[in-house]
Amino acid sequence: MRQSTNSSFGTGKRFLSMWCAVTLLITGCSDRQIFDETGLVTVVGYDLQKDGNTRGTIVMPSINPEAKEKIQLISAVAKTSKGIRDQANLQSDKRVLGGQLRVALYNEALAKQGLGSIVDTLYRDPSISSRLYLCVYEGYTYDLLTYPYKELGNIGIYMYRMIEQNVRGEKIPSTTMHEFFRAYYDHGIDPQLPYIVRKGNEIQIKGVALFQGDRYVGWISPKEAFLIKMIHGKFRIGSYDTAVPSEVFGKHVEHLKNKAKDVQLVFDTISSKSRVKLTKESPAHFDVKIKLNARILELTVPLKVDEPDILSMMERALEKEMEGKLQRIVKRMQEMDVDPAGFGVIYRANRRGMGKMTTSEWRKMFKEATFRFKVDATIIRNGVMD
Amino acid sequence: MNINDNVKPTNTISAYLAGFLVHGTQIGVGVLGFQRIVAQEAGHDAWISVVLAGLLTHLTVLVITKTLACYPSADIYGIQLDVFGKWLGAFLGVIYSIYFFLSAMVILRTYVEVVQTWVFPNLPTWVLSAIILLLAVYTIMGGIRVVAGYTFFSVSVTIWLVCDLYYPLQFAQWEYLFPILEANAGQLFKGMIGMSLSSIGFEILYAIYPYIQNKERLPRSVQTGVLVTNLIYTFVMIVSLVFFSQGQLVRTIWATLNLKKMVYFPILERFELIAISIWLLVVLPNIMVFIWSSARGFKRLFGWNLRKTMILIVPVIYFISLLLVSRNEINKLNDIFAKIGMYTAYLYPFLLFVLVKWKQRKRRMKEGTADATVHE
Repeated sequence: MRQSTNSSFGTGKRFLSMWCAVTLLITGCSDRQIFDETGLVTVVGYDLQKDGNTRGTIVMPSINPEAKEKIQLISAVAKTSKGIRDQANLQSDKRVLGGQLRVALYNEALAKQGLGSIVDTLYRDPSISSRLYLCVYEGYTYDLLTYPYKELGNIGIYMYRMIEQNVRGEKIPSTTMHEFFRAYYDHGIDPQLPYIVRKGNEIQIKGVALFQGDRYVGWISPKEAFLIKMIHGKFRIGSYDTAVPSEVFGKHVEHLKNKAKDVQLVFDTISSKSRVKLTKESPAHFDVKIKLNARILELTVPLKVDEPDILSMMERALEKEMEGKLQRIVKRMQEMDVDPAGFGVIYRANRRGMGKMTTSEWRKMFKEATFRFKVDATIIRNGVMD
Repeated sequence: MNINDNVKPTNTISAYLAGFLVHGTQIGVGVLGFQRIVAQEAGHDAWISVVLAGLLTHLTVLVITKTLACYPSADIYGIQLDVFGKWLGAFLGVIYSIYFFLSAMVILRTYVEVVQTWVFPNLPTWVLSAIILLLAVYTIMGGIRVVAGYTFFSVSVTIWLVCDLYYPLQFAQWEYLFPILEANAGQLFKGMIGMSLSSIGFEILYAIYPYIQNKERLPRSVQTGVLVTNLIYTFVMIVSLVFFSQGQLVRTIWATLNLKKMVYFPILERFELIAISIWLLVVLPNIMVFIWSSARGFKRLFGWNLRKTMILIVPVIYFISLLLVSRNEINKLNDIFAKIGMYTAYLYPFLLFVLVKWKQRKRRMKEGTADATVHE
């Protein structure tokens, strides 16, 4: 069969290859995006205004060599975030694109109203990365982004690096857009985002904003956030500082002259693992066992840490202090009626038939839950000095 | 038309390539978004559904190879003629052919939809469809050996894409898998049905069987191909379950691409765009093998040659793919096709197997010999 139709086959193939070449050449003209003609947004801020509209502020790096400023700022007011982008396009000489967006900021008023729908726009857009960091800012993000910083350069990239290095250093929980939505769509855990403030020239992560569903309810210090993560998560390189009353060390501190009341201890390279058990189902009772290894980095009293009983005293003190703190933070979470640690997830995982747990069931369960914490600390190293 | 079709040795492919063909045809566009469909039914036990569906696929493939082994060198078109007689057999053959080229159409349109959603929102369907179809036609003109060779190439180039699941695993939340086996049997079964669109593709064995050189080695290589497919599906499903929360997963259309969104390299921010481009290599063998199987049917039933059939089939695929515009239509198409695939690829082989066995027994009783093979 092949031989008989050889000639027609040959022409067919030639025709086809011509066709392929032509179509491929033509389609090169589809949707070009020339770098010089696009404005790559790196950070966007949303503010809820008094009249109920949303003001969006975007920052793009300026690549115009004649321009004085390194960044280009555009601000627009609209009802939706895509409306803001359209408005922004009307004010820009370049096409505004969100592919390089790294940080999205929301002001407190907007976050109190609920972020679900406004973040959903970003999540829905395939051109925007899921690793985008979301943050809550205490004032108007417009003021934050338009402030003339001296040495921050492109503020979007700066904030991105700031958040990223803190997430990597385990100072704050990871808060990508994906994780926000994962928690938001789950009836068993609440989202949390970094809480940002500005002090003059400095931008600072002040703490972690807690959400109830998608509504912002309050913020906690990074140390409390550390403890929340410790309940239900892993650490590899965390750090923690605490003060213990010097009586703990008994005879070891008696001979010291200027004895302070408290001894400050700083631990770092904390690696921790937690095991949460649901021991009673109704009302829920959680048994949290945390095992952590730490390195002592700093202590304000000259103790000889090469003596084993001093180390074990420190360990006991740290354990006791942490257990108390954990109880307190859980109480506070119950008062705020938020569950960023995800006890609902653990509850659902350990009790059959709760797969369809509703938000209200979970809130009720969490309100009535009791907790017991057991920390098992080991100080594995004490720096390079004894 | 003969029931058996003795192919010239120069046109045959070896058995291990058949394993690649089956695996390459199974993995297509389904893997990009099957998680949602399964998880809607089986919840966090979706991975169990995937495993069960995989076991069922192994069984079905076993039945298909057993059916084919009853004949020295027949394909589905010949077997149906033998079992159902001249008219009904030819009619069913046409149906199966149409099923094959509809498969190609569904895969093509779904892939174009993915590209339009993720990469080029204003790319017209006709351009991309035309390019893909022309590539497919160009390859098919070279015959099954070229198609098989291309499939081998595509599988070996794209199999490493599984490794990028390491990135989403950084975000894993293992509690999402527990408690294991909360879904009841009915839900698990419904989840298995949701898998059908992703795991069909092994039924092309029915068409390529005459072309296989060492037929006795076929079952093993095909089972290996199916096993690799199932391992990939199970792994992807488990990663999706621990990466997304349930509420998020049932809202995510192409969960696999969302997983790939988490991958980034210092020189490459957005891996999913690369992955979608590479996916063309994964999708092409699907389209080629299905079109080839369909054309083969027309050749066997009516004696048309490959080119003539292509001229008939390819424009039809092309125009149907242009008719579908919206996301909803494509969703519906996929749903309907998943149902069709379940009957033709999963249930029908069992029926055919029983009928073939019954037919052979009848023939044996007639002839009174123990010879089970069919002489032409």
